[in-house]
Amino acid sequence: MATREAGKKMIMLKSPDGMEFEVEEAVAMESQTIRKMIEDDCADTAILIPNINSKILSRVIEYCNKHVPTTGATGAAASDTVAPAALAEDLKIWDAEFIKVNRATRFDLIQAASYLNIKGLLDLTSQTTIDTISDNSLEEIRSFLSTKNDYLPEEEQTIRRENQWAFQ
Amino acid sequence: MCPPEPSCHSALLVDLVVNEILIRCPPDEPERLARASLVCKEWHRVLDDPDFRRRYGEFHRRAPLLGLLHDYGVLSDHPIIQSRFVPTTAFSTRTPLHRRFLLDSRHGRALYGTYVPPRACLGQGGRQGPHHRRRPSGGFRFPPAPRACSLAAGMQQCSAPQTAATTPLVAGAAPSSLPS
Repeated sequence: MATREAGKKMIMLKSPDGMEFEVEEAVAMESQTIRKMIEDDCADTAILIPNINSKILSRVIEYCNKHVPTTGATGAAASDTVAPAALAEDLKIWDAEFIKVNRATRFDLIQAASYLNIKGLLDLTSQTTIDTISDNSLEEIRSFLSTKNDYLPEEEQTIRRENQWAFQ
Repeated sequence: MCPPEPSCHSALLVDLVVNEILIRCPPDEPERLARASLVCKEWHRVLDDPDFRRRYGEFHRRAPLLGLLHDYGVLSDHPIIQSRFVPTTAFSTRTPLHRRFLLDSRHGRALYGTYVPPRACLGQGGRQGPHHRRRPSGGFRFPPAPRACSLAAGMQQCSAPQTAATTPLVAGAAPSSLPS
Protein backbone atom coordinates (compact mmCIF):
# COMPACT_ATOMS: atom_id res chain seq x y z
CA MET A 1 0.00 0.00 0.00
CA ALA A 2 1.38 3.38 -0.90
CA THR A 3 1.89 5.53 2.20
CA ARG A 4 3.92 8.61 3.07
CA GLU A 5 6.73 8.61 5.61
CA ALA A 6 8.58 11.86 6.34
CA GLY A 7 7.40 13.29 3.05
CA LYS A 8 8.51 10.30 1.03
CA LYS A 9 6.02 8.14 -0.77
CA MET A 10 6.32 4.54 0.36
CA ILE A 11 5.47 1.32 -1.50
CA MET A 12 4.81 -2.11 0.02
CA LEU A 13 6.45 -5.06 -1.72
CA LYS A 14 5.35 -8.60 -0.82
CA SER A 15 7.28 -11.79 -1.43
CA PRO A 16 5.46 -15.10 -2.13
CA ASP A 17 6.53 -16.41 1.30
CA GLY A 18 4.50 -13.68 3.01
CA MET A 19 7.15 -11.13 3.92
CA GLU A 20 6.39 -7.46 3.38
CA PHE A 21 8.92 -4.74 2.67
CA GLU A 22 8.05 -1.07 2.84
CA VAL A 23 10.37 0.88 0.58
CA GLU A 24 10.51 4.37 -0.83
CA GLU A 25 8.78 4.63 -4.16
CA ALA A 26 11.98 6.00 -5.69
CA VAL A 27 13.83 2.89 -4.53
CA ALA A 28 11.15 0.55 -5.86
CA MET A 29 11.18 2.38 -9.17
CA GLU A 30 14.79 1.38 -9.72
CA SER A 31 12.96 -1.67 -11.07
CA GLN A 32 11.56 -0.80 -14.47
CA THR A 33 8.92 -3.51 -14.00
CA ILE A 34 7.64 -1.91 -10.79
CA ARG A 35 7.97 1.55 -12.31
CA LYS A 36 5.65 0.50 -15.12
CA MET A 37 3.19 -1.03 -12.64
CA ILE A 38 3.13 2.24 -10.68
CA GLU A 39 2.78 4.35 -13.79
CA ASP A 40 -0.02 2.08 -15.04
CA ASP A 41 -1.84 2.37 -11.69
CA CYS A 42 -1.38 -1.32 -10.93
CA ALA A 43 0.28 -0.52 -7.59
CA ASP A 44 -2.45 1.01 -5.47
CA THR A 45 -2.18 -1.90 -3.04
CA ALA A 46 0.85 -3.90 -1.91
CA ILE A 47 2.74 -5.26 -4.89
CA LEU A 48 3.24 -9.02 -4.92
CA ILE A 49 6.61 -9.93 -6.44
CA PRO A 50 6.11 -13.48 -7.71
CA ASN A 51 8.86 -16.10 -7.72
CA ILE A 52 11.29 -13.98 -5.70
CA ASN A 53 11.59 -15.15 -2.11
CA SER A 54 12.04 -12.80 0.81
CA LYS A 55 15.78 -13.49 1.12
CA ILE A 56 16.44 -12.51 -2.49
CA LEU A 57 13.93 -9.65 -2.47
CA SER A 58 15.64 -8.14 0.57
CA ARG A 59 19.00 -8.28 -1.25
CA VAL A 60 17.43 -6.66 -4.33
CA ILE A 61 15.99 -3.88 -2.18
CA GLU A 62 19.40 -3.47 -0.53
CA TYR A 63 20.94 -3.01 -3.99
CA CYS A 64 18.27 -0.53 -5.09
CA ASN A 65 18.61 1.44 -1.84
CA LYS A 66 22.31 1.85 -2.52
CA HIS A 67 21.92 2.75 -6.16
CA VAL A 68 18.94 5.07 -6.08
CA PRO A 69 19.97 8.70 -6.62
CA THR A 70 19.91 10.14 -3.07
CA THR A 71 18.92 13.61 -1.93
CA GLY A 72 20.15 15.39 1.17
CA ALA A 73 18.23 17.45 3.71
CA THR A 74 18.43 20.51 1.51
CA GLY A 75 16.95 18.63 -1.39
CA ALA A 76 20.19 18.74 -3.32
CA ALA A 77 21.19 15.52 -4.97
CA ALA A 78 24.13 13.83 -3.29
CA SER A 79 25.89 13.83 -6.61
CA ASP A 80 25.83 17.64 -6.43
CA THR A 81 27.96 17.67 -3.27
CA VAL A 82 30.12 14.59 -3.75
CA ALA A 83 32.43 14.20 -6.70
CA PRO A 84 30.90 11.83 -9.27
CA ALA A 85 34.16 9.91 -9.49
CA ALA A 86 34.15 9.36 -5.72
CA LEU A 87 30.52 8.20 -5.83
CA ALA A 88 31.26 5.83 -8.66
CA GLU A 89 34.28 4.42 -6.83
CA ASP A 90 32.22 3.98 -3.65
CA LEU A 91 29.53 2.13 -5.59
CA LYS A 92 32.11 -0.04 -7.30
CA ILE A 93 33.57 -1.12 -3.95
CA TRP A 94 30.10 -1.67 -2.53
CA ASP A 95 29.07 -3.75 -5.57
CA ALA A 96 32.17 -5.92 -5.25
CA GLU A 97 31.20 -6.75 -1.66
CA PHE A 98 27.52 -7.18 -2.52
CA ILE A 99 28.22 -9.81 -5.15
CA LYS A 100 30.26 -12.01 -2.80
CA VAL A 101 27.49 -14.58 -2.55
CA ASN A 102 27.27 -18.26 -3.38
CA ARG A 103 26.32 -19.53 -6.82
CA ALA A 104 22.67 -20.28 -5.99
CA THR A 105 22.09 -16.81 -4.56
CA ARG A 106 23.80 -15.19 -7.53
CA PHE A 107 21.59 -17.10 -9.96
CA ASP A 108 18.50 -16.14 -7.96
CA LEU A 109 19.64 -12.52 -8.15
CA ILE A 110 20.03 -12.81 -11.93
CA GLN A 111 16.49 -14.14 -12.23
CA ALA A 112 15.16 -11.42 -9.95
CA ALA A 113 17.06 -8.67 -11.75
CA SER A 114 15.79 -9.94 -15.08
CA TYR A 115 12.15 -10.12 -13.99
CA LEU A 116 12.25 -6.80 -12.16
CA ASN A 117 14.25 -5.28 -15.02
CA ILE A 118 17.03 -3.72 -12.96
CA LYS A 119 19.78 -3.26 -15.52
CA GLY A 120 22.57 -2.42 -13.10
CA LEU A 121 21.93 -5.48 -10.95
CA LEU A 122 21.56 -7.71 -14.02
CA ASP A 123 24.86 -6.43 -15.42
CA LEU A 124 26.62 -6.84 -12.08
CA THR A 125 25.45 -10.39 -11.40
CA SER A 126 25.78 -11.73 -14.95
CA GLN A 127 29.04 -10.00 -15.82
CA THR A 128 30.64 -11.12 -12.57
CA THR A 129 29.61 -14.70 -13.33
CA ILE A 130 30.99 -14.73 -16.87
CA ASP A 131 34.19 -13.07 -15.64
CA THR A 132 34.48 -15.71 -12.94
CA ILE A 133 34.11 -18.71 -15.19
CA SER A 134 35.55 -17.57 -18.49
CA ASP A 135 39.16 -18.36 -17.62
CA ASN A 136 38.31 -21.65 -15.99
CA SER A 137 38.54 -25.08 -17.53
CA LEU A 138 35.37 -26.83 -18.64
CA GLU A 139 35.50 -29.05 -15.55
CA GLU A 140 35.87 -26.03 -13.27
CA ILE A 141 32.93 -24.31 -14.98
CA ARG A 142 30.78 -27.41 -14.61
CA SER A 143 31.78 -27.68 -10.97
CA PHE A 144 30.99 -24.01 -10.30
CA LEU A 145 27.61 -24.31 -11.99
CA SER A 146 26.85 -27.76 -10.55
CA THR A 147 26.28 -28.90 -14.13
CA LYS A 148 26.99 -32.39 -15.41
CA ASN A 149 28.72 -33.08 -18.70
CA ASP A 150 25.97 -34.79 -20.67
CA TYR A 151 27.96 -35.15 -23.90
CA LEU A 152 28.96 -38.55 -25.20
CA PRO A 153 32.75 -38.66 -25.75
CA GLU A 154 32.28 -38.81 -29.53
CA GLU A 155 29.92 -35.82 -29.47
CA GLU A 156 32.45 -33.77 -27.52
CA GLN A 157 35.24 -34.79 -29.89
CA THR A 158 33.16 -33.79 -32.92
CA ILE A 159 32.54 -30.30 -31.54
CA ARG A 160 36.20 -29.91 -30.61
CA ARG A 161 37.27 -31.03 -34.07
CA GLU A 162 34.84 -28.68 -35.85
CA ASN A 163 35.92 -25.72 -33.70
CA GLN A 164 39.65 -26.32 -33.45
CA TRP A 165 40.33 -22.59 -33.69
CA ALA A 166 38.68 -22.11 -30.31
CA PHE A 167 40.64 -24.79 -28.49
CA GLN A 168 44.19 -24.01 -29.65
CA MET B 1 -1.08 -2.97 -18.22
CA CYS B 2 0.36 -5.08 -15.43
CA PRO B 3 3.21 -7.36 -16.49
CA PRO B 4 2.52 -11.08 -16.57
CA GLU B 5 3.85 -13.30 -13.84
CA PRO B 6 7.06 -15.05 -14.75
CA SER B 7 6.82 -18.68 -15.70
CA CYS B 8 7.33 -21.17 -12.91
CA HIS B 9 8.95 -23.62 -15.29
CA SER B 10 12.45 -24.15 -13.93
CA ALA B 11 13.94 -24.87 -17.38
CA LEU B 12 12.84 -21.45 -18.57
CA LEU B 13 14.44 -19.83 -15.55
CA VAL B 14 17.67 -21.74 -16.19
CA ASP B 15 17.54 -20.63 -19.83
CA LEU B 16 17.09 -17.04 -18.72
CA VAL B 17 20.09 -17.15 -16.39
CA VAL B 18 22.31 -18.90 -18.95
CA ASN B 19 21.27 -16.39 -21.60
CA GLU B 20 22.06 -13.42 -19.39
CA ILE B 21 25.48 -14.83 -18.50
CA LEU B 22 26.56 -15.94 -21.97
CA ILE B 23 25.36 -12.82 -23.74
CA ARG B 24 28.06 -10.95 -21.81
CA CYS B 25 30.89 -12.98 -23.32
CA PRO B 26 33.15 -10.35 -24.89
CA PRO B 27 32.84 -10.30 -28.70
CA ASP B 28 36.59 -9.83 -29.03
CA GLU B 29 37.09 -13.29 -27.57
CA PRO B 30 34.68 -15.42 -29.62
CA GLU B 31 36.50 -18.62 -28.70
CA ARG B 32 34.87 -18.37 -25.28
CA LEU B 33 31.44 -18.90 -26.82
CA ALA B 34 32.63 -21.96 -28.71
CA ARG B 35 34.22 -23.37 -25.55
CA ALA B 36 31.11 -22.60 -23.55
CA SER B 37 29.08 -24.76 -25.92
CA LEU B 38 31.00 -27.75 -24.52
CA VAL B 39 29.94 -27.17 -20.92
CA CYS B 40 26.71 -29.12 -21.46
CA LYS B 41 24.03 -29.62 -24.09
CA GLU B 42 21.83 -27.04 -22.41
CA TRP B 43 24.46 -24.35 -22.99
CA HIS B 44 25.00 -25.58 -26.53
CA ARG B 45 21.28 -25.33 -27.20
CA VAL B 46 21.21 -21.74 -25.89
CA LEU B 47 24.25 -20.73 -27.96
CA ASP B 48 22.93 -22.44 -31.08
CA ASP B 49 19.61 -20.59 -30.90
CA PRO B 50 19.30 -17.93 -33.63
CA ASP B 51 17.45 -15.76 -31.15
CA PHE B 52 20.49 -15.77 -28.85
CA ARG B 53 22.75 -14.75 -31.73
CA ARG B 54 20.38 -11.94 -32.64
CA ARG B 55 20.31 -10.72 -29.04
CA TYR B 56 24.08 -11.09 -28.78
CA GLY B 57 24.55 -8.83 -31.79
CA GLU B 58 22.12 -6.28 -30.39
CA PHE B 59 23.72 -6.37 -26.94
CA HIS B 60 27.25 -5.76 -28.21
CA ARG B 61 26.17 -3.81 -31.32
CA ARG B 62 28.64 -5.78 -33.39
CA ALA B 63 29.34 -9.41 -34.13
CA PRO B 64 32.50 -11.05 -32.85
CA LEU B 65 35.35 -11.28 -35.33
CA LEU B 66 36.45 -14.88 -35.71
CA GLY B 67 39.50 -14.30 -37.85
CA LEU B 68 40.77 -13.67 -41.35
CA LEU B 69 40.87 -15.62 -44.58
CA HIS B 70 43.95 -14.67 -46.58
CA ASP B 71 45.17 -15.18 -50.13
CA TYR B 72 48.86 -14.83 -49.59
CA GLY B 73 51.47 -16.81 -47.79
CA VAL B 74 52.26 -13.55 -46.08
CA LEU B 75 51.79 -14.74 -42.52
CA SER B 76 54.70 -17.08 -42.82
CA ASP B 77 55.51 -16.95 -39.12
CA HIS B 78 52.09 -18.26 -38.26
CA PRO B 79 51.86 -21.97 -37.47
CA ILE B 80 48.52 -22.50 -39.21
CA ILE B 81 49.32 -20.67 -42.41
CA GLN B 82 48.34 -23.68 -44.51
CA SER B 83 44.73 -23.35 -43.42
CA ARG B 84 44.47 -19.82 -44.94
CA PHE B 85 42.35 -18.95 -41.92
CA VAL B 86 43.91 -16.96 -39.10
CA PRO B 87 41.74 -16.86 -35.98
CA THR B 88 41.72 -13.70 -33.92
CA THR B 89 42.59 -15.85 -30.93
CA ALA B 90 46.04 -16.52 -32.38
CA PHE B 91 46.58 -13.21 -34.08
CA SER B 92 48.62 -10.23 -32.98
CA THR B 93 49.95 -7.16 -34.68
CA ARG B 94 53.71 -6.85 -34.82
CA THR B 95 54.44 -4.18 -37.37
CA PRO B 96 54.99 -0.60 -36.20
CA LEU B 97 52.11 1.64 -37.20
CA HIS B 98 54.20 4.05 -39.26
CA ARG B 99 55.09 1.29 -41.70
CA ARG B 100 51.50 0.24 -42.38
CA PHE B 101 48.88 1.37 -44.83
CA LEU B 102 45.22 1.07 -44.10
CA LEU B 103 43.38 -1.50 -46.22
CA ASP B 104 40.02 -1.59 -44.57
CA SER B 105 38.17 -0.58 -41.45
CA ARG B 106 34.86 -1.68 -40.00
CA HIS B 107 33.28 -2.88 -36.76
CA GLY B 108 35.85 -0.82 -34.86
CA ARG B 109 38.78 -2.76 -36.32
CA ALA B 110 41.32 -1.82 -38.94
CA LEU B 111 43.04 -4.02 -41.48
CA TYR B 112 46.55 -2.88 -42.36
CA GLY B 113 49.04 -3.99 -44.95
CA THR B 114 52.78 -3.59 -45.07
CA TYR B 115 55.09 -3.42 -48.10
CA VAL B 116 58.18 -5.07 -46.70
CA PRO B 117 57.64 -7.79 -45.85
CA PRO B 118 54.28 -7.99 -47.62
CA ARG B 119 51.72 -8.98 -45.04
CA ALA B 120 48.36 -8.01 -43.65
CA CYS B 121 47.53 -7.49 -40.03
CA LEU B 122 44.52 -6.64 -37.96
CA GLY B 123 44.43 -3.77 -35.51
CA GLN B 124 41.94 -2.55 -32.94
CA GLY B 125 40.48 0.90 -32.83
CA GLY B 126 39.75 1.51 -36.49
CA ARG B 127 37.20 4.14 -37.35
CA GLN B 128 33.73 3.11 -36.28
CA GLY B 129 30.70 3.50 -38.45
CA PRO B 130 30.64 3.66 -42.23
CA HIS B 131 32.84 1.39 -44.25
CA HIS B 132 36.20 2.98 -44.95
CA ARG B 133 38.89 1.79 -47.34
CA ARG B 134 42.03 3.23 -48.86
CA ARG B 135 43.88 1.51 -51.66
CA PRO B 136 47.60 1.10 -51.15
CA SER B 137 49.68 3.27 -53.41
CA GLY B 138 52.85 2.22 -55.20
CA GLY B 139 53.61 -0.93 -57.17
CA PHE B 140 52.49 -3.48 -54.61
CA ARG B 141 49.06 -4.88 -55.44
CA PHE B 142 46.80 -7.21 -53.57
CA PRO B 143 44.79 -9.66 -55.65
CA PRO B 144 41.04 -9.92 -55.07
CA ALA B 145 40.26 -11.88 -51.95
CA PRO B 146 38.20 -15.04 -52.17
CA ARG B 147 34.63 -14.94 -51.08
CA ALA B 148 34.50 -16.06 -47.49
CA CYS B 149 32.82 -19.35 -46.96
CA SER B 150 30.91 -20.41 -43.93
CA LEU B 151 33.21 -22.21 -41.53
CA ALA B 152 30.81 -22.95 -38.73
CA ALA B 153 27.15 -22.78 -37.89
CA GLY B 154 25.93 -19.27 -37.38
CA MET B 155 28.81 -17.65 -39.22
CA GLN B 156 28.10 -14.84 -41.61
CA GLN B 157 30.24 -12.88 -44.00
CA CYS B 158 30.77 -9.16 -43.88
CA SER B 159 28.27 -7.78 -46.36
CA ALA B 160 30.57 -5.29 -48.06
CA PRO B 161 32.75 -6.59 -50.91
CA GLN B 162 36.37 -7.31 -50.07
CA THR B 163 39.33 -6.35 -52.23
CA ALA B 164 42.05 -6.61 -49.63
CA ALA B 165 44.30 -9.59 -49.19
CA THR B 166 42.33 -10.80 -46.19
CA THR B 167 38.68 -11.22 -45.52
CA PRO B 168 37.40 -10.67 -41.97
CA LEU B 169 34.86 -13.21 -40.80
CA VAL B 170 32.29 -12.42 -38.20
CA ALA B 171 29.77 -14.52 -36.35
CA GLY B 172 27.00 -14.19 -33.82
CA ALA B 173 28.21 -17.35 -32.13
CA ALA B 174 30.27 -20.09 -33.57
CA PRO B 175 29.63 -23.42 -31.95
CA SER B 176 29.18 -26.16 -34.48
CA SER B 177 25.94 -28.07 -34.56
CA LEU B 178 25.53 -31.08 -32.34
CA PRO B 179 26.39 -34.29 -34.11
CA SER B 180 23.22 -35.96 -35.24
